[in-house]
Amino acid sequence: MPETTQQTTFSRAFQIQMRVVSALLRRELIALSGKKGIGFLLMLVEPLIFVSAICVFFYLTRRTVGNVPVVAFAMSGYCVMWGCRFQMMKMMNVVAANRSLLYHRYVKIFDLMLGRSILQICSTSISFLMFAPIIYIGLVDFPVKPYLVVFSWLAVLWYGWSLGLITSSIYGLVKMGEKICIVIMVLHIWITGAFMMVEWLPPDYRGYYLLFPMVHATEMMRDGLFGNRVTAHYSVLYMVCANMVLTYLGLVLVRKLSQRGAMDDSD
Amino acid sequence: MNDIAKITKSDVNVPLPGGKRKKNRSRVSPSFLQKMIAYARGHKLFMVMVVVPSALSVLYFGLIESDIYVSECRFVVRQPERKNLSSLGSLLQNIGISSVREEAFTVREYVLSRDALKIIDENLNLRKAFGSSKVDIINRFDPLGIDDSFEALYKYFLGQVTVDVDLTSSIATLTAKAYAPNDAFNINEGLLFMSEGLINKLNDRARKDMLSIALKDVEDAEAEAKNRAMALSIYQDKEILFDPAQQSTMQLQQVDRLQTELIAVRGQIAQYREFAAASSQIRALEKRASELRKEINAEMAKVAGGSESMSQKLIEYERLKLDREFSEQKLAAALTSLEQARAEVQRQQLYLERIVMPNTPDSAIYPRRFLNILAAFGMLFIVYGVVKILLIGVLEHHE
Repeated sequence: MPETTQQTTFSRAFQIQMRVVSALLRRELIALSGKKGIGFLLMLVEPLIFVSAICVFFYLTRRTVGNVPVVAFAMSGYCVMWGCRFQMMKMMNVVAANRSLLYHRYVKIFDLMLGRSILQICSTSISFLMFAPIIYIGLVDFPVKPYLVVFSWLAVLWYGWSLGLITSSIYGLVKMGEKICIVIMVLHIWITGAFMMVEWLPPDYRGYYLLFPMVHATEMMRDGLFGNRVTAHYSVLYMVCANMVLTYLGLVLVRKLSQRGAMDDSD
Repeated sequence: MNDIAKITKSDVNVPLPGGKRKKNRSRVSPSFLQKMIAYARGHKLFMVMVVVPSALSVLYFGLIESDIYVSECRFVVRQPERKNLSSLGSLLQNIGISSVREEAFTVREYVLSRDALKIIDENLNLRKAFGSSKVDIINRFDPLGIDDSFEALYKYFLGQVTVDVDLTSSIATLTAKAYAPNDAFNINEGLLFMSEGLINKLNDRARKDMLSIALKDVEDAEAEAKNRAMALSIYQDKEILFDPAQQSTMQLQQVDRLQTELIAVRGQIAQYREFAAASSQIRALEKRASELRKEINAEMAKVAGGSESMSQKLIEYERLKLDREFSEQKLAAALTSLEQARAEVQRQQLYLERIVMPNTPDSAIYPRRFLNILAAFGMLFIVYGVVKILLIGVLEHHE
């Protein structure tokens, strides 16, 4: 680490960071499309393929869950699930893959993560926009409360970003990091509330299930999509607080990783 | 926070709370207040993001926020016939589709409806209870006096009343929150009472629907039976006959007697002819015999043959009697099915049983002041930490 120079103002530093992040973003895009001609496109539609395959599967097996069309139900659940998991998956090895870039003075570990996560947010959001054609062809009614759907999606992205920071730091910090990350990701199949609604659980157990922040997001999205047709249980305050705590945790871990990286360089 | 402090010291010179101790050691003289002000100047972000909001939260949660009283009751909606279908296992088997405990859910939907609120509001004046100036301004209904519409009240009401139905035991728990113990109790009791009314109404309607057909059948059968019985008695009255079978028996006995007499008379005539052919008795006896024969013929005609005979009457009589018997059987059948319908209604009758009566709370269990303050502290520190790290992250990009 070079010695600190206090002359840099905050706005100047911010400008530099934005420049770094946008350069990283462009670099990622070029790297992806350069490798395989349609790599970039493939990356964007990767979650979309997942979600639509699942939708087709559910559409062919069952038409409704309770009084809700199954496609919408599956979409809402899987979008949340993949919204979280894809960010974790893709951000996991970002530091290891771009280690050489850290020799540039301006490029920080956090910038690498930020660039990668922005790309991921775009690609998962495109799969989320699958709702639009499905609504258009009439498989799903227009959301009862569209704002709730949007808010919950933002919460999902936030959560995924925090978890991405955490997993990518763990990946770099701990020897068993990769294994731990995989465990966390598999766990997220179950703790995002993709397959069921809280209402279906006995009231005694609902509280435990609602400890997972993404269950709130899924419930909120379903409340937005279906309105009175389902009974949703969620607390926006809890979700936001949990996300905040996870973000803090993630940022602290990233700091740890940066320090460690600095030490490694000096060694 | 330790982490941040460490990072800060090593990377960038942004003042942090951790740096305070050093200053205190080096300079001893300034007063406590001066030190505080100096500290605040040095840590503007910390002051704005943590200290000030914490102070506000202590003020609000500790002093301003009103006591909330909670009244709770438990009830179960029962139907003798219905079996308990729900356990977690069967629930997971047919996810979401099973609509068990629908009666309890009916009550829940009713309690949380505008209908229920309307009646409760008419009786208890909820706008006054929730919107009084004793309630703190954040929890108060319509604090600014902008929107006291029914819809706003309904939205507020949904935050105050909860009904939870346990799927395994089907016991419903109704809780009402209010800012005075009596209000909480009254709302709870009122809602429970109205729920009972709803269940009774549902029962009445079901009973009416199920019994109306059976009742109509019985009425029809009854009227028909009456008509048949009436027709028979009118016929009996008209033809002056009580019991045609018995009456014809009597008449046949008469004929029998006459015939016996006739035979006796004939015997006598034969005797006279044998032994006293010139006797004048013969003529008298012959006369008697012919009279008897005539009499017998007349009597026989009454029993059978001829338009006025007993057998003719009997045909009509038997027809009417058969009609009456049929209609009586029909009535009996209708009455049986009515009885069955009654039993069915009885079996499908819903009961709202109060397990736990609504209580009048004697102390406020909400808000959890200390926990709220603690949570606010925690969250403020976390938010501060996040912002701080992000800022440091930006500042690392120095030239």
